[in-house]
Amino acid sequence: MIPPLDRRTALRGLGISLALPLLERMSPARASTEPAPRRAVFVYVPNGVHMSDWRPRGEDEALELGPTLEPLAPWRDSLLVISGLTHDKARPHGDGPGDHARSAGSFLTGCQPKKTDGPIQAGVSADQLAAREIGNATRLRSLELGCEPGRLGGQCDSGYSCAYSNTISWSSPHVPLPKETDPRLVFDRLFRDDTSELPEALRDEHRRRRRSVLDFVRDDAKRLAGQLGVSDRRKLDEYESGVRELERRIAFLEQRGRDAGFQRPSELPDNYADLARLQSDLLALAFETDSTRVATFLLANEGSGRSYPALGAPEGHHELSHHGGDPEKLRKIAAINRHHIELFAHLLQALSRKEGESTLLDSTMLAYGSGISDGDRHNHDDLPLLLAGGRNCDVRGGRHLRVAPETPCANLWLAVLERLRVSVPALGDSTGRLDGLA
Amino acid sequence: MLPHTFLAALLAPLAAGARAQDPVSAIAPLLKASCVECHSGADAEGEVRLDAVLETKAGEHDLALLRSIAAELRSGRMPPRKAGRPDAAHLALALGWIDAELSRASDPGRPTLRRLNRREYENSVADLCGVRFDTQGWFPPDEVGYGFDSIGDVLSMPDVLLEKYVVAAERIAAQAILVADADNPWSVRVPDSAIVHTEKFTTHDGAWSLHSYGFVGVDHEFERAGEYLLRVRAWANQAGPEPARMDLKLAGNVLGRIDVTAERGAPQVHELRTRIKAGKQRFSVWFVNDFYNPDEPDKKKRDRNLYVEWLEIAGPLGWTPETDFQKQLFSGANRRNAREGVEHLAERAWRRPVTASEVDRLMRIAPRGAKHDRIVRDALVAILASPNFLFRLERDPSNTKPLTQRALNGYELATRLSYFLWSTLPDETLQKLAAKDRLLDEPVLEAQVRRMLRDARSGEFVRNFAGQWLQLRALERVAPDASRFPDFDDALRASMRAETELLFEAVLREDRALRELLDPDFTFLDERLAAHYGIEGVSGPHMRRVPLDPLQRAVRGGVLQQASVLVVTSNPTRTSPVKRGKWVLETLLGSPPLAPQPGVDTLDESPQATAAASLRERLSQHRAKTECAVCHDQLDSLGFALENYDPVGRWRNEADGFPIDSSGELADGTRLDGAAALERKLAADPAFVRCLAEKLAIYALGRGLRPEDAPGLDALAASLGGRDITLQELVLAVVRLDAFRRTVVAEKP
Repeated sequence: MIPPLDRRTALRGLGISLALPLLERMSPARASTEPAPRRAVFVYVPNGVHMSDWRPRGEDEALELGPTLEPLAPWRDSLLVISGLTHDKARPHGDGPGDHARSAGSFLTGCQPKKTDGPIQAGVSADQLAAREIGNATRLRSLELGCEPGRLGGQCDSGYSCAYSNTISWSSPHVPLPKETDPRLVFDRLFRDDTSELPEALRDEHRRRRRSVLDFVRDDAKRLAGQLGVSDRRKLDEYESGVRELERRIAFLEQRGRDAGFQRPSELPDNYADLARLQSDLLALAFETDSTRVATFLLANEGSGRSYPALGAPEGHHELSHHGGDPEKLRKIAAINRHHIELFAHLLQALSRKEGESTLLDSTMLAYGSGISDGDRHNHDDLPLLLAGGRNCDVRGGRHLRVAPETPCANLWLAVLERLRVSVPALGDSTGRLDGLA
Repeated sequence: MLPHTFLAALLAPLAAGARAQDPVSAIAPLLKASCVECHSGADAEGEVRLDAVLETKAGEHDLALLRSIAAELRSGRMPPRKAGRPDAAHLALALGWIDAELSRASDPGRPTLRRLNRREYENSVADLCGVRFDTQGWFPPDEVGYGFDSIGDVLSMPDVLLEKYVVAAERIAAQAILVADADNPWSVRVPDSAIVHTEKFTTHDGAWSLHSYGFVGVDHEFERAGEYLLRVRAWANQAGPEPARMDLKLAGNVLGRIDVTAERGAPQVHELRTRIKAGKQRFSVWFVNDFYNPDEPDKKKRDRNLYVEWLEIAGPLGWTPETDFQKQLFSGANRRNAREGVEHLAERAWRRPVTASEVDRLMRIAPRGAKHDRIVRDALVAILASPNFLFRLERDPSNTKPLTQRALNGYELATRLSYFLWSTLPDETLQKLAAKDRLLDEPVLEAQVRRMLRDARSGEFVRNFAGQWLQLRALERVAPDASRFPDFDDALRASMRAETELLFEAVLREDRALRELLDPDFTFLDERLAAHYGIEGVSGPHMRRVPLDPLQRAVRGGVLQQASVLVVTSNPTRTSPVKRGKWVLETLLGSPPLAPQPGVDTLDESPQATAAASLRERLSQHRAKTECAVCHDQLDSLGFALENYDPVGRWRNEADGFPIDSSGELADGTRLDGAAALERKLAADPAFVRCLAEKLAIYALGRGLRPEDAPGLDALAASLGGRDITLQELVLAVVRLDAFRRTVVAEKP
C-alpha cells in the first residue's frame, strides 16, 4: 500500500508548489459525501514492446509481473494486464506499409485511418466520446498531453500524414487533437486566464468585450457558411465548435473565480524523464481540482526515433525496434520499455493522493499500451495493454486477463466507457463490451 | 531499356497515335509481358492488381493507379531487373496512352479552405499592425501533409486553437493600440533584469525573497513629470505578533508604510499615488520588520519573510504613449477617424474590400461612447479572431455555376501570391493592383512576381519552402550520438541550416540557374562550419559567401554535400545510405520508394557483423533478396555516392576501418562515383526540374497533386524543356499554372 503523498512534496521537486488552503477553494462545488467522479487516462507508447519481458509470468489468473512491468509492483493489486487484444484496423487491408501511423490512428478509434497526406480521416476516439458527455461537468472537456511535439516537415510514415502519428485523440473523424507538450502551457490551460491579474473593474470590461467579439465571429461564421461549399463548410464547423466551447469555458471561469494559487512551472525541464514526470504531476493536479476527467498522454509519438543515451541506447527507438532478433537490440528495447513503465509509475504515484476516503487513483482508470506488439514484426495482435487504478470503477486488479485471439481492442474501450457511465453502442470495429474487468 | 536520363525522362511525348488506340491494345502488350505475372489476382504482389486495368472500360480508369504505373515504369524500378527490361516500343506505347488518359481530366481543382499556419499568422499580424507576436510553442504545431505545413486538408481547427486565437487577438490588439483611461493608466511592469537589490537574493516561487532587512527596487527613468501610481504585488511568511511590513520609497523618501497580510499563494497588490518629477529616480520596497524566533514550536511561524512578486509603475495619469502603428493610423498624412481606421484594418486583414454593414458591426464591439482609439482596438480584436482573417477564403460569386471553372479575382490572386512568396498578407501595391484587376495581366503578374522575389520578405519563402522541401527543419530534432560526435551542438546546427538556406536564397534572388543548387562555385560559411569542413581562411561567427576552388567545389559545392542534408539523413550513430538514397529520390526526383514490408530482415548491426564487413558489403548481402533489391538497388547506389561524408557531414576516407567505396550503378545502368558526379547527373536530369515544380505547386496550392494536374505540369516541363532555367523562371511557371490562377466553383449543399 502506498501512503497518500503530501502534495507539496510531490510537486515541489519539479517546480510546482501549491497553496493548500487555496486548493480547497479551487476544489469543485461537490459535497464531501458525494462519490468522487470517475475518470480515465489513456497512455500510449510507440514502436511496440519486447513482449517476452512485458508478458506476466505464470499461467494463473493471479498477476505475476515480468521484468518490464516490475516497477508497477507497488500497485499490483490495482493492475489488470490484458493479453490477446488486437487492432485489426492497424493492419494494411490493402493500404500497404504504414503500420506506425495506423496503430496510433486506430488505437482509440477502432477505425482504419485513411491513407493520405491530405484529407485525413480516422474516427472519433474513445476519450473524446467520453469528453462529449462527462466533459460537460468540467472546465476542460479533456486534456491531451505529450512529450514530443509533432514532426516538423518530411513524411512520417509511408504516405500517411504526420497527424496520424502525433496524437491518439480525435474529436471528429477529421479533427485530430494536438497535444500540449509544454507543461507551462498545460498549467495555463488549467489555471490561468489573461484576466487573472486585472483589477475587478477591468476584468468585467475584458469579459464583456470577449463576449461581444465571440458574438461577432460566430455571426461571421454563420454568414460565410451560406457562401461556401461542402468541404469548406466543414472547416467552419470546426471553427464554430471552438467558439461554443470557449463560451462554455468562460461561463465556468466566471462561476469559479480566479487564480488558483498554484505556481506556474518556471521552465521547461531539460530532459525527457523530468518532462514526462512534470506532465504527470499536472495531470494529477487537473484531476484533483476536477478541472477535467478525461485525458490522453503520449509518452512519445508513434514511430518516435528518440534516443535514450542515459539507458545506454543512443540509437533511435524506432531504429532499434527493428531488432531482427539481435539480443543486444532487444535488451535496449526492453530498457526503454521499462523506462516508460517507470514514468507511468510516477503518474500512478501522483494519483495516489487522498480524495475523500480513498485516493484519486481509485476513481481513475488508466489504460496503458501500444498499437504495435513486436516492433520488428509490426504485428497488431497480442498487444501490450493494461489497466491500472479504477478500484472504485468496478475494475478488479491483481490479475492477468487473457482474451480470445482477435478480440478487438475497441471492446476494451467500450468497457471503460461503460464504467465512465458513457453509453455508446459501438466504437469502430468493436464487437461488444469486453467482459472480465471486474 | 530506358533512354538516356537515368530515372525519368519521357516527360513530354504524348505519342500522337496512342490517343486513338483502344486501351487494351495500347497497354496490354506491356502488362502481359512484364507485369501481370506477379500483379494479378487476390494474391497480387504489393496488392497492386494490374489484371484489372485490362478489363476496365475507357474513361473509367483509376487515374491514381495509372499515374503510379507510369511513375514506376519511368523510374525503372518496375519491372524488376530480374524480370528483364520491357520492350521499348511497348513501353512508349503504354506511357503515351497513360498520359493521354490522364490529360483528359485537366482541371484546376479547388484547394480545401486553408487557415493560416503559425508563420503566416505571425507575419500577417506583424504586417497589419506592427506587433511581433510569437506563436511558436504556444499555438499547437501545424500538421504537415505532402511534406508541407500549408495543406488545407490537414490544417484543422481544434477547439484549443480557436481559444488561443481569441486570446492572441486580445493580446495583439492591446499591444498595437495603447488605450488609457482613469481606471487603467499606462503602466510598465519592471522586468527582472532591471531590478536592483541590497544583496544577492534568491528568487523563490517566482518572487524576490527578503529574509532580513533589505530592499528591492528599480532605477527608473521617469520621462515626464506628473501623477503616478506605484504598485507592488507581495505576500509574506507571517511570524511573530505583527504582520510583515514594507516601506515604499522614492529617491530615499518614504512614501508610505504598508502591512502585508497576504500569505503564500494569495498575493495582494498594493498601490500608492504620488507626484513625481521627471528624471531618473530609485523606486524601492523595503522590508522593515524582520522577525525570527527559533524557539517557536510551529516551524512555519518562526521566520517572518517578505516576498515581492513584481513592481509596476503606472502613469503619468491622463497620458498615454502611442505606438508607431497608432501614429501611422491616426495622424500625419493618413489622418483617419475611427470608422476609417476600422475599415482600413479590416480591408488589409481580410485581404478584400469590406462592406458598410461589416464596418458597422465592427464599430459596435467597443461600448457606446468609447473614444476612437478604444473603438479601433476593440474592433481589431474581432478582425483578428474572425474567420475572415484566419481562413483564406475564396468565395464564388453568386452567379457562378457549381463545378464550373472560374478565374480568381484580383484579390484572391494577390492573396495566393503573397502567401506563396512571402507567407503574409498582400502589401499595398498588390492590393491596389488587385482593386484595378491589373494582376490578371500577364506582364503585370510577371513584374510583381519578380518584385516579390527580390523583396526581403521572400526570405520567408526560403525558410518555409526550402526549409521543408529540403527537410532542413528536421535538423532541429536530430541528435547525433554525443559520445561519438562531441563537437555537434546547437550553434553548428544553426550554421548548417543557414548555409543551405543562404545558397537557396542566393540562387533565388540573383536569378541563378536551378542547377546551381546542386553545383555552385560558392557556399556560405562561418568559422565553425568552415572548420568542420576543413576549409581555411574563414574567421568569425557571421555567415558569409565563400568562393570554392575546383577542389573544394568537388567536395562542398551543392546541397547534397552540405552538412545540413547529410546530418538529417543519418542515424545517430552511423550514416544511412538508404536514408540518403531515399532523400534523393523523394526530394530531388519526386519518386519516393515504397516502404519496406513489415517483418523483412533488417541489417545486422551487432559488433561482430560490423567488424566482419563494411556497411557496403553488409547492405549488398542484404539486397541479394529480390523483394529488397527492387528498391535497394537504387537507394543504396544513390546513398553510397555520399558515403564519404560521416553522420555529421565531415569528409572521411574510411569508416569502421574499411576504406570508402563511393561508386555505384544506377537503375538504368549508369555508373558513377562520388557525390560531385551524382550532383552533376541530377542537375542535368529533367526529373529534377519536374520534381521541384511539383513541390512548388503543392506548397503554393496548399493541396496534394492529382492526376488532373499532370497535364499542366507536363506542359510546364515541356515549355522549359532542357533549357538552363533559373529558379525565378520556375516560380513564374508555377504561378502561371491554371491550378494557381483558376479554381472550380464549389458545390453548395
